[in-house]
Amino acid sequence: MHRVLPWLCVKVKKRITLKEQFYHILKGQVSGKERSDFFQELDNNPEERREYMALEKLWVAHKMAGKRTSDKFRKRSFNEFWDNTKKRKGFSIWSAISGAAAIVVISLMVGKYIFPGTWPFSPDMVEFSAPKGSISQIELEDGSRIWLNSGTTAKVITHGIFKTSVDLEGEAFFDVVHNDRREFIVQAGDYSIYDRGTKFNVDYDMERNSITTALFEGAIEFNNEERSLLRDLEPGKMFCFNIDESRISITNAEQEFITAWKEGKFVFVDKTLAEIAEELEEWYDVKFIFKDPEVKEEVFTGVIKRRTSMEHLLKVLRLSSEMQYKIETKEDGSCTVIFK
Amino acid sequence: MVNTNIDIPGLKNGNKKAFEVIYQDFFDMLFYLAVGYLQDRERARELVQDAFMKLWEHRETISNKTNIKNYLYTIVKNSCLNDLREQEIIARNNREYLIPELKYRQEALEAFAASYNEVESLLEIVEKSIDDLPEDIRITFRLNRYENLTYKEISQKLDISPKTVEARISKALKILRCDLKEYLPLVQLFFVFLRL
Repeated sequence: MHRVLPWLCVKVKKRITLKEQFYHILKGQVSGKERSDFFQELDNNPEERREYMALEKLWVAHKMAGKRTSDKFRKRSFNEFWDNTKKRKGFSIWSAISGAAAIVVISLMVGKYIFPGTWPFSPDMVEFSAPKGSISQIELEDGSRIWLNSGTTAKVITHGIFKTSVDLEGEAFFDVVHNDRREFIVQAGDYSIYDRGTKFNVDYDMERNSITTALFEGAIEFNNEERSLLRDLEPGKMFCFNIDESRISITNAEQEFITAWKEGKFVFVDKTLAEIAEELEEWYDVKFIFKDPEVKEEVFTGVIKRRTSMEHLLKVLRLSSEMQYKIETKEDGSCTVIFK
Repeated sequence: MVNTNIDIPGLKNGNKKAFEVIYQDFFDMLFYLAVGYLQDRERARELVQDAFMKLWEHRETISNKTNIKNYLYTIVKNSCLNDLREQEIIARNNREYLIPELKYRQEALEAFAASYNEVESLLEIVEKSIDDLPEDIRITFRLNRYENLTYKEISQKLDISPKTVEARISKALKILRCDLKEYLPLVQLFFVFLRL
């Protein structure tokens, strides 16, 4: 036992014990309840909190300046980085999404298309779709932009310069440049949303037979074929229209959550693992199998980047629940995740 | 000089050697920043890779004025913060006991050096004091502090008795205690942790 700092031991013996705990926490040697209790305690003790923070700062700074990873580890990491730079070559935007699922940017000119004659549609209608597992972005000539979520189809119909309508099946975010002399309409089945210079998100869920529209800026009007159903929605609010019951409900719209998909993130708000699995199956092209039906019903809320590897994402999910899983890769390259 | 030993034109052209040099130089610094606050080596490595990838994507906009080290530092710091925020959202569901720590980490990381220069100057103060120690004491101290050698190992290496090692370390601390008054008791505490 070394007694290099006797003054410290004698004078502040009790503190040293606490500081020793600092040390164990710093080194990650404490886990579980003891660890969460420690941080809970820091919450109630501003002075300790400040001291621990200062100590941690010195600790991290010291490691940053002095500690080296192994040459092998660094070399391997560099090679991986370099391979990735080659893979991404050719994309003009920093894609938040990996592999085959890149954001597709398409420029649409009114009356003059990029590949004239190759579209199998009438000249004033162009159909766009975001295949499962990817997000597409469309930019109209006036600068208005439309993002299509995975598995969404949108037919953009231009009626001269006075009217643009978008026939939507699925979910899309609209950032429309306002033009007094032009109508901009989103058509969801028999219902329509009129833009009044706006940022809004429309989710036409054909399975649930509902239209959910969140307004972030400007104004919109929601109509059926005959009359207006809603016209005074405030920005920051959203309405959900249940088509079968013809019922509208209005709630607050948190943009961060609602439009996280367009930044290349998965958004789960109170979703069961079964629902999440469905979405992940599309994205990662894997199959999920639940051995324990109870696991299926576990509920999660969160936002996760899509470029996150599936392994990491599963780890994050496991972090917030007790579930266990196993990943199996078959000979043909297909992948199965089994929840126990 | 902001970018000593950095081949700026090479980076702009996407030259492999130029990237490898900065990668080798800055990887560990960035990695240990992320490990320090995320406490997850795998995730830390991912975020550092992403930071270099961002530099790659924006290489054409680099100029001599760009402080490459700080640029990478800021990206990693911010992405760690985002990661902690995401973890917190996820924890809100049914791992609420993780929240105090996640909140603490965000606050601590936000308060952490605004640029890498700040990290350097903090350490410089500590380093300077160590450099000013008499040579034999300094060597002993560094072996203990940087190479994590025990007193016994140091005594074998320097061919002195363990008692002498102990005396030298003790002397070093006495001197440092005077020199680093401002940072006391923090620095002393820090040395306690370095297994003295």
